[in-house]
Amino acid sequence: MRQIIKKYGAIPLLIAMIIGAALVVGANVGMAWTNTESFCISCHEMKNNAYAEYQDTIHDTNRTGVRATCPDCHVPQEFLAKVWRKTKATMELYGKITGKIDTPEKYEEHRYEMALNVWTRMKNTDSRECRNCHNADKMDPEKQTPEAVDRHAKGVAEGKTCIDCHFAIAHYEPDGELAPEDLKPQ
Amino acid sequence: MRLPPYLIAPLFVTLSLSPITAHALNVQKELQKQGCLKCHAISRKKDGPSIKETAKKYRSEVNGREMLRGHLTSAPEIEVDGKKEKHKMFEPKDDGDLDAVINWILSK
Repeated sequence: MRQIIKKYGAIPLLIAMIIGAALVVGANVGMAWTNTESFCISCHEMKNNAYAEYQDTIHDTNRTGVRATCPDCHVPQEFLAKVWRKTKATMELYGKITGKIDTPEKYEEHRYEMALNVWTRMKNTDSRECRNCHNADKMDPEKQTPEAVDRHAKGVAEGKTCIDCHFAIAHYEPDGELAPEDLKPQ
Repeated sequence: MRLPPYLIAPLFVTLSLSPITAHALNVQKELQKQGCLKCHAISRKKDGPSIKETAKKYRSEVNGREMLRGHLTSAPEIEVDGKKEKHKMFEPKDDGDLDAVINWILSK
């Protein structure tokens, strides 16, 4: 390093450091910006269907005002998984451009396929995105209804994951043969 | 045929109050909002039977519509996994909402 500074001076190193820092900050800002509800709606075909269905559900409007927006449920928090998911999600933009699901009829036609994609992902990760907010170890049975306590205990004993029971609570249920509990984690 | 002007206003009032007036409730959203879909899915089994199963059951009863109305509004005792509990009551804003929900369930 000293030799490089001797040969070229400290300025190129300083420039490299500034560019590096700008890239890190830029990547983080960009990542945060693309993780907002308004950004999701601006690029994905969802305003009049998936988003409209989500509005007024417990994840949107509730007693405390704590919300789970699109990325909370659909984008991993861990960096590499997040980048990979976002890269795959850009394929959906092709669907947006070509109008694959731009009418209610087309959306219904593909609803099952889209739900299976999300359910499969959740099964493969043991409902990781649910668990970003809901920590099973921190659930206080004293504050749950006795029915919820029983059902969670039963679900755990049967090796179930969140989505096995809590599907179709934020978006409408698709017609189709399979349910999340029929899907095997890969 | 042209209606006499003195008949138009009463006819309009009668039609707008009649039971055939379309009810604008989005039933699926309302069921979601009231937590019904925590335990019931439309075509899949959750802790409770599917809406389709429920519809089939009540459609086969002579007085099914009224039985379903009672089930939704009286918090009857039900059994889940061998344990008895009270069924959550559906809370309609008015009778029209309740009719819309009953019609929707029976149509499945």
